[in-house]
Amino acid sequence: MMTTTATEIVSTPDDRSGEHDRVLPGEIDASCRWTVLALFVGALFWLVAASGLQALSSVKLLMPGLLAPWEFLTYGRLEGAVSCGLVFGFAIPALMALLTWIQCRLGGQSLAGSLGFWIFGSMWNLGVLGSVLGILAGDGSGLAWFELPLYGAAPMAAAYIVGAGVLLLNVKLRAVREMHVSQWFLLLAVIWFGWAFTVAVLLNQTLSSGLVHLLVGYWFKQQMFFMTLLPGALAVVFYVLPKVAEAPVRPRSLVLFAFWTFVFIGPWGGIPQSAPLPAWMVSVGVVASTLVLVPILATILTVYETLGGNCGSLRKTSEGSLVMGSVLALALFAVMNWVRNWSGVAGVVELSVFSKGMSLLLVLGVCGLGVLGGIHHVVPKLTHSQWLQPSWARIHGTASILSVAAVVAGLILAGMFQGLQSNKLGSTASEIAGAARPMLALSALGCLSYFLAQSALFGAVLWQSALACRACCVPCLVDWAKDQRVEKAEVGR
Amino acid sequence: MKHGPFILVGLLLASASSWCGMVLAPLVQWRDLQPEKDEGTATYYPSRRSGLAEQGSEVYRAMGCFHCHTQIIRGRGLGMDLEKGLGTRRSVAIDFLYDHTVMPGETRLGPDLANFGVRSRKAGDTNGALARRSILVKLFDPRSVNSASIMPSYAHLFEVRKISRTPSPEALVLSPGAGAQSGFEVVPKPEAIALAAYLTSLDSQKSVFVAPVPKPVKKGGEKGTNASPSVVVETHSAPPK
Repeated sequence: MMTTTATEIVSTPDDRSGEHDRVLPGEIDASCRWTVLALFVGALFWLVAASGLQALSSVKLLMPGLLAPWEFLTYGRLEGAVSCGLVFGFAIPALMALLTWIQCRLGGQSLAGSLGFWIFGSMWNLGVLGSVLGILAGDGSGLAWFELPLYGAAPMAAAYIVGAGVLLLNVKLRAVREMHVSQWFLLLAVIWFGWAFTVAVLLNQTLSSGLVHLLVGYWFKQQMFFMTLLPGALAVVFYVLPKVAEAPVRPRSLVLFAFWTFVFIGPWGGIPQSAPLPAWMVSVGVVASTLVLVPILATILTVYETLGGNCGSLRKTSEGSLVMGSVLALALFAVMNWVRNWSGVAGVVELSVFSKGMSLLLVLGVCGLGVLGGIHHVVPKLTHSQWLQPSWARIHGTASILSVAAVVAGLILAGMFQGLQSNKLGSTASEIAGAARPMLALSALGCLSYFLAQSALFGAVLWQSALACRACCVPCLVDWAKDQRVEKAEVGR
Repeated sequence: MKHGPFILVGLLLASASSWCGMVLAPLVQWRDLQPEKDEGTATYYPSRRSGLAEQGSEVYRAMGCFHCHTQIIRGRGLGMDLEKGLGTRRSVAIDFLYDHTVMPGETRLGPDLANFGVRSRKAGDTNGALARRSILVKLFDPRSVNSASIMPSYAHLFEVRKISRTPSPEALVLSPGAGAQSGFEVVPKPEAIALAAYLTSLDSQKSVFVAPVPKPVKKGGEKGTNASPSVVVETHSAPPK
């Protein structure tokens, strides 16, 4: 059952041209192993670092005197570093690693051009390191979720072009020509991010107007969230889900409709109603945010149909739970993204921590849980060993879901209370902050538990990788030692 | 779908159209964005900030102040910013025409700063010196000004040093218990002075073509309105005289 690939599930015999060239899954995993594991380790390092900084910043919101003399740990700088670490440090490279492995499995091919991924991984992580340190030192760009300084962004853009180029080359070289649903979303995420990221970096460096930077910042955030992280997560969901549920993705026409409507509606939203932009842009953004409900609901309906209404089957495994968490987060995000644009609601929640809650719902909930589910699914296959304790994997999955729920619920509720208090005539800034305080405490608690859960996962992946390395290296060393002994004996004779 | 090129063309088409619509079109629209002349005072809005205030905006960006403070006034029907007197009109693009880095912010954990320069000045403070002083005190120790403030201290923007023969004229006047030990004084570093200059320069109250300031009319018999005490909006329903 678990050995059936998703391609086999969705393909009809006529579609499977090139099937005879397919490489066995074991060989595919062997070709991807160290490349994908190295990308996972880098991504999880940044997840731990960013979630640790996020926990610190959320506590600082409640205890403003904490570490106050440390200039590089002020709340504003921490927030910039957190967003950089979460999105560019964790989400993008983890998605690249997962999508690479998924492409090889679905394409029935060994990984080609692994050197390109190593170049991508090392340059990208150096760029992220430079960016995070730069932001903490005060070199952030001033654009929320896109605070990368040039000396960090430039190598990252170059690295991404290399990494995405090699991944697209692998798509081109696939043995199985029929493309699985996951591969559609994979292509969408990889191509779109490359385009949006390089354009945003170039525009921000070549044009000096602050208004242009602001515009590019809003546009890039939407492309990154909606057209990269979300489809990347869906690529993982549509790969893992049929495996866990032991059923093909269906109905295919519905997911095809969801894909194309999403492609043409998704990039137009994301403009806050209060943004100092032309009114027509705000209107277009509101309409797009409403219409994007259609593809998202179609996607969720596809997931429901694929499961055959039996969502309980997903709870049996940690990756199933995490992927289901991602889908539920997507449903919640779609509805709240629609509701937040109602005029009465927008007046309350806009410019409150509600916006941050929504961003984290997408980054940590939809994308983060999907990626973690993918890691739970892929790492044991790559290392040829089950998790040290399968129950620990389930505990990690549950802890991650609950932590994300606490972080997001805390911020969203805090935003609502903050907005309601803010709209009272005569309310002071302290009263407004006080109204949000209890829910901010819940969010801080969630941040702390999320940090602990991801630290444990990072340790487990390092351990599994070390075991795999030993299993791979020890026989080689033994053989080499044997050869040496034989050579010496022959020389002695 | 078997054909990668088909997907590629579709994606390129969609991404190009969104880029043209959401980036290129507003850039074309803003191509002719110019300062507007106030016929009454013969001055232009917006005007460039002073060099010191420009430096202050860099400090504002470097400190990440925009993560807690917005510089956005929302129009009627979207929050109560105008009713609360945070501004006289909604914020528009021209307000940021000369800003090298535009930082409207997304979250208002602290007060909005769009018109902070106007709000912080008290009567008689013509050159804003008193306002800058009070801002510096708040930056050094926010809770000495408001005990419930959640703003962190930016003490690293100040130097605590031993008083030499005469105290520095720039030394902060702090409430008892909030400052340094006796014999020491708290002197703002150039970054703090620049930041205070930037904050006092924030003023987007002027009427502009796309967002005119409603003309004030005398109050009379309008009970139960939510309008601010000083400004009542003229409605179009009133018959022309």
